[in-house]
Amino acid sequence: MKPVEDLISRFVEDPGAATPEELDALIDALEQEPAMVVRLREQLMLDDLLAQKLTVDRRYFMAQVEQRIADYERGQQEIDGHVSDLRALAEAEIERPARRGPPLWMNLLMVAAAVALVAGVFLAPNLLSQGRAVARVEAIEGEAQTVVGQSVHPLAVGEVLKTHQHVTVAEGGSVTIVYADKTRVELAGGTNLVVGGDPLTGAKALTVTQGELFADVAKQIAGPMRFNTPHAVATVLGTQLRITVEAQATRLDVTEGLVEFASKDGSATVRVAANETGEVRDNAMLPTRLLEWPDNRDSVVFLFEGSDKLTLARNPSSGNFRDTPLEEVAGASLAANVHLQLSGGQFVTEDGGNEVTQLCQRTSQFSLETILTPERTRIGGSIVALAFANGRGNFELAQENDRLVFRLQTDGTMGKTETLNLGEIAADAQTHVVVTYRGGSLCGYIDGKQVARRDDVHGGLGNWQEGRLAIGGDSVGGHRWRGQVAGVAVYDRAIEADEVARNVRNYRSVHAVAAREPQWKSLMAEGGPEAYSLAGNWTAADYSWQSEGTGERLLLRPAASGALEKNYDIRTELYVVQSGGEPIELLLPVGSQHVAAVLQPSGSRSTANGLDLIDLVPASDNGSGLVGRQLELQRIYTIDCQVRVSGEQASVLVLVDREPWVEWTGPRASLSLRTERKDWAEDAPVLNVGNNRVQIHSVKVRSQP
Amino acid sequence: MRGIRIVSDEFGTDAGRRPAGEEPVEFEDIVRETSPHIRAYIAGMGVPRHDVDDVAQDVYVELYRFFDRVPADVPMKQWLKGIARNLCLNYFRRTSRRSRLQREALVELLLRAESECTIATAEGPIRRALDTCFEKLPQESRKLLSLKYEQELPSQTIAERLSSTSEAIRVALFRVRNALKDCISRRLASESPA
Repeated sequence: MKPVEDLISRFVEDPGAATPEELDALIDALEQEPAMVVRLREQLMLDDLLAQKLTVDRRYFMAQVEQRIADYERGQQEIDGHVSDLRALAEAEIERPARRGPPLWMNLLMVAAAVALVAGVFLAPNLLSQGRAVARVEAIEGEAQTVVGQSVHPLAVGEVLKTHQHVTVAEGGSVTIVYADKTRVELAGGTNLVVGGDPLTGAKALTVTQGELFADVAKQIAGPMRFNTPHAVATVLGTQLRITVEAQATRLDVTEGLVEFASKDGSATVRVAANETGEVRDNAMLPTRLLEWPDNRDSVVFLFEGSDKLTLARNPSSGNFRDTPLEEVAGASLAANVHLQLSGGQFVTEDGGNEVTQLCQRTSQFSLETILTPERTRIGGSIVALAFANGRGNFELAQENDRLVFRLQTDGTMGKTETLNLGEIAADAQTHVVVTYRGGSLCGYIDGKQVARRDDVHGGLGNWQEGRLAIGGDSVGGHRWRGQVAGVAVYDRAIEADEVARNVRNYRSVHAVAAREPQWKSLMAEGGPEAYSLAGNWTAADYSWQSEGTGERLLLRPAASGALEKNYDIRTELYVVQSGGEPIELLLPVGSQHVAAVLQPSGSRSTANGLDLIDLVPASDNGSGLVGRQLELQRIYTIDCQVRVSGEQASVLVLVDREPWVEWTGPRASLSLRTERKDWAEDAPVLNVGNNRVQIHSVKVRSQP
Repeated sequence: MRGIRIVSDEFGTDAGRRPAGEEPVEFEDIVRETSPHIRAYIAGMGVPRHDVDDVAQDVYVELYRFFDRVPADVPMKQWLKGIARNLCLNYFRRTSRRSRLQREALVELLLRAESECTIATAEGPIRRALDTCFEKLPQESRKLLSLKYEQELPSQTIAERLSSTSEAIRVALFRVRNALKDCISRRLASESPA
């Protein structure tokens, strides 16, 4: 490389770092060889184009321009507002001399007002001390007090709250109040509040002097509900919001609907829409921004927030995020709802794990936050692990039957693994788990509430080893777990209780649409096969239910929640141990009709899959399924079945490992199984494994609206 | 772009630039189509990578503010380059005096070379050309670029990882960028109307 090329390559590496001497040398060289100027320019441009393409922080240029334009517009609006205020003042000054005195009707009105004022002076204190009943205390956790007039007493569940009544919630506690129209307000620990309301219109109002509240406001008839703070006024035009009041600022997070948010002095007003945050700080209205999970990403070192977004790890050298794709290991897949689906497989990242380790070592503290849905409770497995295997390593969040545990090693634990018991966990229920550690304090939170704490775990994280960050198993591929993981965030800081609560709320708000999706009900979540067996001998092993090949049948209806709707889905993981020659059937109600989806295992006499019967024609001849396919022995298949009914039309779809094996749409009256199978009269789906020996590794159902 | 839509009277009255009945020009489209080039253009004047996007955002805010002043007969990209040039000079004026004089001299040199720089004068979709050319790179080159730009590692750290020297890494990067430049120039030339 020529000296001038070396100068160019050094300059391109970091143009801002060039010393005056290096710049002089470069300019001299370029003046002597003008052709090299073109070279330099091209290298600089290519360098930037590559950075635009590959560097994570540079991929959001459009959004940054949008923000800058919005800031500019906001600044313009403020200027316009001041100008119109000044204009209004000037106009008032111009008009004033023209007024000679009030007209007669106004004089009469003033007399009436004076009488009312005199009456008010005498009557109002009495009325104020009594207040007007507006709400009721529904729940209290920890301690809370209330002040009415001069009287202070502990708040009680069921107590009626009146206007002008003060409520104080102790740190670590919470209070839920409800109004008659089901408007619900949850007060976090450390909140001071005065109950209010408009005496004329009955419109609700609360004044928050400190702390945090979350409100789910029903549609208001008397006028919008107002939340007053020392810095701002939030006027609720929609339904869900959270207000956080600190010494210098009030923050408003809107999760549903629309809220008008004004600074206390009235100088600025914005409308904060769903999934947006507004903030008044030091009497200035800050730009609104989108609600995010996690709320504060400054100390996030690893983040998975759904497969539709980049998985990020923080680069220890630059401090910036970079894309860190998760590697799928057998049996792991991405669910339709962008979550990680763990069915005996796992997702791992080696680089991400190493970087998390390095960054947490520097601060000697960390937090793990994850949103998970266990498939069942009679199971064990490692949910999130960092360089952890065989009971030892950096950390592990694990399920042990119906309990969650967290394991950790620090350089103060003398090589011993410390355990934090996080309590019980339910199958098929999404759970938000947070564990935080800072020397001397290991805390666990479930759904935003602290459930466990140990103050006897000490030491830094200097002994942490580099290794994989694994989801759905431990860091060497063992101890596999079953369920779904919707999000994972690791921080190099122990986040505080209020931030945990905020993150839970933000996550629920941001993912509200996903949360409204129909939920699967796992039949294996709590009970054994006996609760569902219609025929034959089913036995429960550690992770599966097994048939003996004597005509076993299972009723696919959740024991607790009753019947399925007319539209429903079935998902099962099936392993054929030994074929007996008969087909495996899903006997399906389709509206008031019935049909059997037939799947042929290896060794069966037929190779025709499909629906029995359509217009009395069997699966082998009615073209509803694939011909020539059979379920291989000793292999786990995921079988999905969807039944839909719309008026007189219906459809049935059966997917085997996501590939359609049975597909039919037509008039449901043509489904004629019942005329042949008069013995079968169930109104719920049935799995009939015939004379095959099978293992069922999972089976779940859900209704579709 | 959410909430921002500019319908320019300038464009609307200029039949030579936009036929009657055609959709109005959106600010978002202009940003999307021109920003890869304008950002690289700013970097090509020696603005450090971490400040390039700040300067580029200023360029688009200026465009937004004075959109009605864009002359009808000047192509948008050329207008934006003019704004970028001025903002880059402002950027360097904020640095210390000695450094400022050097930077201004360097910008002067770089601007003089503009007409010979195929990438700087390209009119075609430069980002798409880069994406295509990037796919054609050998695996080793892509790995090197990943370490440099995706993981943002300095040459010294890359050298340690690959058991090499920082100088050799800089040379290798120089050559990979050169190969990409040649490929992009060829593609843009083949796509441009004769």
